[in-house]
Amino acid sequence: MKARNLTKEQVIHDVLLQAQPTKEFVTSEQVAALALFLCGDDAAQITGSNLSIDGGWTAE
Amino acid sequence: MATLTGKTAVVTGSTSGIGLAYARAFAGAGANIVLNGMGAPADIEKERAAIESDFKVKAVHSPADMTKPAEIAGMIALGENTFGSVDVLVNNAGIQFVSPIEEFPPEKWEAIIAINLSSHQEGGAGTGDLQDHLQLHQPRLCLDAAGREADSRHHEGA
Repeated sequence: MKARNLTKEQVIHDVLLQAQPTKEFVTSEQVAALALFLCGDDAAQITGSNLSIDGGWTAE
Repeated sequence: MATLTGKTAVVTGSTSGIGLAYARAFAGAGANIVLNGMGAPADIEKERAAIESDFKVKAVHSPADMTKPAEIAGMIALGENTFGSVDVLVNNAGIQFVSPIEEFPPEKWEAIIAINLSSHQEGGAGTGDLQDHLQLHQPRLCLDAAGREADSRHHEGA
């Protein structure tokens, strides 16, 4: 699908990653690793929190 | 990192993508897994069997529809009856639909609300004393996930 006459690659590099501070997409495995951390004793005091794992997208 | 041997994790929408990554991460920590989601039965069975062989845990699949509270309760019951308890629930399942507001189909709106919002309450309620366990600092967790994957799939028209 071509929206606004941009290729998929252009959207990824010129639109999405341009606004992404880390210039990388977050991987599924990185999201899962955070979930696993939350299950451990080290995260016992993290509860009811909203945690962003988005390469800085919402902080930008 | 957490050790979850003997625990059970239910991950909604876990037959592919981020949901499957949650399931495999929890399995890697030793948890038994309740997969949930749609897809070709052969594909689901391949992923279920891979979790069991890769991580030496048990995995079952629940086809529960996240718009149907009774099926969500059945998914939690499957985990409890198969493995003895449900210790982790990841509310990962979600859908997306984009449309000008005046054209937005009411049935799509209802499905988004049911899956992306209401199913979280149904799943949490199904685990009974989940809140008590959280307050006791047990490694018992209810995760509400929101991601961009549904967006990207939609935009790619896949």
